[in-house]
Amino acid sequence: MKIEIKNVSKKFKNNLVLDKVNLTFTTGHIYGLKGRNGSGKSVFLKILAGLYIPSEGEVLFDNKKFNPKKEYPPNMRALIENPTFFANMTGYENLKLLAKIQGKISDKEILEALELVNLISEKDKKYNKYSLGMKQKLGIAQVFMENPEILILDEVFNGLEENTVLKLKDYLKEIKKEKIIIITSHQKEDLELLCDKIYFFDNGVVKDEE
Amino acid sequence: MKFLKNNFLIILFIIIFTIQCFNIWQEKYNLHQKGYEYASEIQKECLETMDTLTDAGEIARCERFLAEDFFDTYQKEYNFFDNFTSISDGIWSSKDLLAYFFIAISLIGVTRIFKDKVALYMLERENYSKFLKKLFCKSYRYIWFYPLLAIIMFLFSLYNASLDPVKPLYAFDVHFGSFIINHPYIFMILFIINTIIFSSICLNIALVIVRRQHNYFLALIEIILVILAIQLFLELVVIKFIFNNLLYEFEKVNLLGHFFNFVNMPDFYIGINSNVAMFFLVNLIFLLISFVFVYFSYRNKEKLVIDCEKNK
Repeated sequence: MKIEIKNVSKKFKNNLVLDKVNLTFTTGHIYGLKGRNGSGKSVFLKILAGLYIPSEGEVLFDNKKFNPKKEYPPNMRALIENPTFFANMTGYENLKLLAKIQGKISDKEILEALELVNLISEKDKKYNKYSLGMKQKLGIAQVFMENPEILILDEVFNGLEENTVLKLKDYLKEIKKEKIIIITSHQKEDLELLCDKIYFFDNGVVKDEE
Repeated sequence: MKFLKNNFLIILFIIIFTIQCFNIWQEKYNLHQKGYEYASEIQKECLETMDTLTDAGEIARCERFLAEDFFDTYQKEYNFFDNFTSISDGIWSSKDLLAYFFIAISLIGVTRIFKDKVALYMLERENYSKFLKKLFCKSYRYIWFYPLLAIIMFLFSLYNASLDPVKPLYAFDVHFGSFIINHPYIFMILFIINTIIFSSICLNIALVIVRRQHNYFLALIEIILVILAIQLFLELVVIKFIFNNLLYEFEKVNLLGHFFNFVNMPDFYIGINSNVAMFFLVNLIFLLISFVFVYFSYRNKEKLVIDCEKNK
């Protein structure tokens, strides 16, 4: 799998948030995105996830132009900014509802994803009773459960306890061979330890850091 | 069991509606039966006293009661349209509340997709048009509500009633026109189609509001205000100003004015001088306009995502 970002710019009214971004992501790597708040990281990830539409430029998946107005990105799952689920449903019910959309997985995979993020014991609790950390875990579980080829994880380790962070880092290293993983984090060490390549976002311009 | 739990409110409402229909029907039916018994007594009395009567008025009265087709005609007066008018006047008349209830139950769960931002995860798993299709299907899942209420009213109105238009009462004629009186089954089908059109317009208005207002209760209030504003506009500008003033001299045209009374649409009030086709044409134009608004509200995926992201 290869993702090519060609001359992608994004403007909100007169505010240029991304300026002619050119990047390529390939399978087998973990990519890190760095930059202060408002540097354009999240907007970039939302364009990749097909939630925002670039003002200029194009995104290609395996050399095929992606049209976010009509399509959703092939085999991609994302956790961008804060996780959000139905407040009156349990964590498990929320994941089941999302899994039902494509119908690719069974209960087994949902439970495995909950196990991976150490949330299995809280799966039947209502989402509105979850702590911030538990919400984050559920958000991560929805990314992993369908075994996507492309994973977008924005500030993924926020609010997680140490043992879950370590478990997730090991898991990401383990699965990266067959995947494209894009991570953002405020923790410099997280990115340096995990990522094969780090890109630095500054006022919508991307610089190759390493 | 899950179906009952998920649809508790609507099932409860339908039960209450059916009971209310039954009460109105029973009152009317009992009245008719009493009238029948009273008429039988008079007939019996006339048979016994006819030969001894001397007063011309009394003789004429007894002749009417003793006529061969008297009871046949009396039965025909227990008419489907008569019953339907009584039942709908008794229960359908609170149509504003009925419409708001219908919108309120249809929107349960729809606003949450936006408010809880689950739409964002859904859009990673399906394309925008499929997402919208599911959203609209969810909003339209109770589209059978109005037609079912209409069918319940029809069933009560039809029980033991005559469909014969031999003695149409003036009131019905004014309300429905002779075409309808002569074709009761066509009337029932058209009435149901009309309820579907009305429901769809209500749901489309709701969908347009919900696109921006993701809070369920605030959305309901906005929908009520918008419907009232539409009604006010139609009554003051379209009916009073355009039809009753500008088009006053064009007799055939100004008769169409009352079709623009949106809130009264479920009444299926056509009137003696108006035609059914024109009634449906006006309503279909309303429907088309509402779909255009829905299209323009939902055509931009990115704006929908941004509006969802604003929710806390």
